Amino acid sequence: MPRPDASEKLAASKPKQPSKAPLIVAIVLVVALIAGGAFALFKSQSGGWEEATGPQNSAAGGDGITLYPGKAKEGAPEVKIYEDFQCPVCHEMEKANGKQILQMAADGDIKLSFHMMSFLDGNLNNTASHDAANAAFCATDQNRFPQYHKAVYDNQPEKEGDGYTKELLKSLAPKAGIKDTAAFDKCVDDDKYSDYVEATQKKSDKDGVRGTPTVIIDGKSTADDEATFQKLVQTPNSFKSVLEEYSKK
Amino acid sequence: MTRTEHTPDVVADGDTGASRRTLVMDWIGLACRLIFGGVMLWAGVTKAMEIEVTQRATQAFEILPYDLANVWGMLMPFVEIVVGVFLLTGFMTRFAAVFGTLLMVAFIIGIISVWVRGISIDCGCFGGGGAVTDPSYGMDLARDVALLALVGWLLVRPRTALSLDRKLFA
Repeated sequence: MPRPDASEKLAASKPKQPSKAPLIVAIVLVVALIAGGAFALFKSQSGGWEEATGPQNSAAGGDGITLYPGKAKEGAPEVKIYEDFQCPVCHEMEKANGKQILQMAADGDIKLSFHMMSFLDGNLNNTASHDAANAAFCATDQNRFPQYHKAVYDNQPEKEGDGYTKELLKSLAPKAGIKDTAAFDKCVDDDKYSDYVEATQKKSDKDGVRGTPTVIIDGKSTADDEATFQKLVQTPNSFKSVLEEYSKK
Repeated sequence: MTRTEHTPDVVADGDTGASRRTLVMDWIGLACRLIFGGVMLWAGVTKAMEIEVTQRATQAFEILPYDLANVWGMLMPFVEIVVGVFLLTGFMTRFAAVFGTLLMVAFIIGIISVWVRGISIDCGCFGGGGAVTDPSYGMDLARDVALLALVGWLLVRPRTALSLDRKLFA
């Protein structure tokens, strides 16, 4: 008897060619990942924010507002203060040591700069830190940063997250002794220093500031030592002794 | 010559035990895919919606330099999303599991690294008044080790129930 025709069975049992599809998908994804990475790296190199300009007496690229420029005596320690206007702990520190810090700067005993950050907007889901920082920069153009800075904290909401409306920020102008309220209002409404606010946050990130308030004296951060941090935040007029301790190091 | 006996194609009883175990393991695999894939997708989407915060969080680990931390922060959420979608559908399961495993290992190393250096990853300002709150590194580690176990299963045994792989490539 002739052998049955097994050609169909033979064809069916032939091993399937492994599909090329997974390999192609894998290659496409890896290439996309590498391309994305290269693009992201390139974009971060050409960061325009390093050139952002702020109000008078501000360092380019969000590197702080200098208070009482030119007043500092020879060899005065350099004090950089990083804060976020929505930060309750910053408010505490302002109450405890704000006056003494400003006085020492006015007397030329320290070279003082403020770095107003806005990362809390992300945590609290609003734009109040950005808006308040912008308003403070607007006040700087009229030489009223120290006064406006205090006025904002004096009006910090009880509940963290309630933030500051632009209306409130504008209403603080007389309290800070701002003379040209028309210019100030426009500056607040237009978010004039928006780029500089963003740059200030990015520069603070780059400076390694992870939380607020952070006070850096001659390059040394007081936030590294819990006891010092607590002292600055809670003990009135303790800044002077902290300064002595830190500028010796 | 004709064959007088018909030999059955499948050996009966000896196989039943093995195929039940295989079935159970396929379903365990499915559970791993759904849990791990779901977590990856959710984590990736929430991170992708606030890239700057993700970048800042990566900087806070102080492992990568500033620019590289930003690159990682920008890309990593999308890797999570792709891994999540692939594993949820069971598409290229082993391939996705490789990336999932690498990610989990990276996270675990990151947490251990900041823990031993005493760095506090709380990018915020602390209402009670204190620079260092006690971060829950132990809990985070436990969670990530559990997730690693899930994706590790898939790495070793990518065959799962109800997968696109089975439909497309089996």
